[in-house]
Amino acid sequence: MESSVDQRLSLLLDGEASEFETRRLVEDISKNPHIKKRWLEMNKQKSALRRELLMPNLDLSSKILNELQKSKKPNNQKHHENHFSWGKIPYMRTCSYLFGLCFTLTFIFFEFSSQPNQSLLQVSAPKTLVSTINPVILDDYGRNFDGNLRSYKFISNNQVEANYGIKGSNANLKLKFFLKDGSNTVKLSSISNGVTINTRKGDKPMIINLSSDKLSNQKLISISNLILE
Amino acid sequence: MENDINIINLVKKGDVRAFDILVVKYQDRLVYSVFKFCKDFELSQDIAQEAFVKAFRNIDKFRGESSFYTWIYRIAINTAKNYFSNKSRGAETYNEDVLDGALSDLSLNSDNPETLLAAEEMKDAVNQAFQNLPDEIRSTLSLREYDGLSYEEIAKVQNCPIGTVRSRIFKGRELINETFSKLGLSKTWSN
Repeated sequence: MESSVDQRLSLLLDGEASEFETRRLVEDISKNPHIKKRWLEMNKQKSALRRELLMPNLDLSSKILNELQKSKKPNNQKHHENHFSWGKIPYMRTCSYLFGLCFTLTFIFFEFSSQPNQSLLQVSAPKTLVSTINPVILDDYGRNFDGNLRSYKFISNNQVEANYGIKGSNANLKLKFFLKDGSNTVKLSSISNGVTINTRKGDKPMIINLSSDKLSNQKLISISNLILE
Repeated sequence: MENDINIINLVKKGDVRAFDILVVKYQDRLVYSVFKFCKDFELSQDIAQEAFVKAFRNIDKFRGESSFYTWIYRIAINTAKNYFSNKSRGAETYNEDVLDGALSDLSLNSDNPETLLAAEEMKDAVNQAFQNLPDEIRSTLSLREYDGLSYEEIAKVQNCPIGTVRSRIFKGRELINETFSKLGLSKTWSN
């Protein structure tokens, strides 16, 4: 667990964490004093390594945060408020309409085109799966095919679904991860769309199903090859 | 170049917690750079602090054409110059090579010689731990820390998968941290 946190912090330290992972870490660091302490330590070590450490116990955080509490929002938000123009309403209305349409279509695609019982999906992770699949792994898979992890949800104890946006295009890619359980073959029968990969997660067999509304099966096959590599 | 764009995008939405990530990430480097300019322990901290506050208030002006550090460094140096001109003190000329001289000045003038000693001890310990790393890990970490290459660039240079780069860098840091824990040095900045 600790090692996994350190791994994520190491990526953040190098500016290599994805947008999704960055958001999670901002949350974690601000809420968990232990993680915050590790973040500080890792930065101190980095500064020492680069010989840029002047005061080992320097921490300006609290002073700066106190100062910022007085003026919570950066200027740009004020700027946007000041320059709001009613003349932009038709444009905004069109954007809202398009956004709503896209959202609805996405919702229909992701929720109704797959399993019927998925309308009752769990959003929180069951404990059994958290220990074997975490978002860092999902994020890592995305890196294989220039995919930005947008969301993920745990469907059952053995199944997680991850949705990615493909960089440079408007295509989505849905990956379903099944942890194969020999005692229950029903899970396997639900894989019907797209391309299916049989692989391993540590010592456990794992099945990954790729599907997309925009990508052809040929493209899915080439992405699955990237994952397998 | 450091890639902080994801953090900065959150800051632009007004997320102070995300800005705190940047503060922790760059405070030592910034204070160190300002110190080279003004050679005053306390003043370096005050100027760095003011630079961070200004950076947050003007984050919408950051366009990502340079790294965040380059941007805030300019803010800090301008803040220092303003300070000296307001105080009619005549700022000393900034010189990248004055570090050694600056540090000896510090050892003479600082109210915190223990702090200076602790910093030197840590820098030596970290660099010793770095030298003791296995060759592959050391060269990968070196490309990251000293040459500033991204993971992707390192993977190309070393002709290995990006996952290998990631794990080597992490392993390197873990080993350095172990040395630190053994020496009890991490307590200094936890206090």
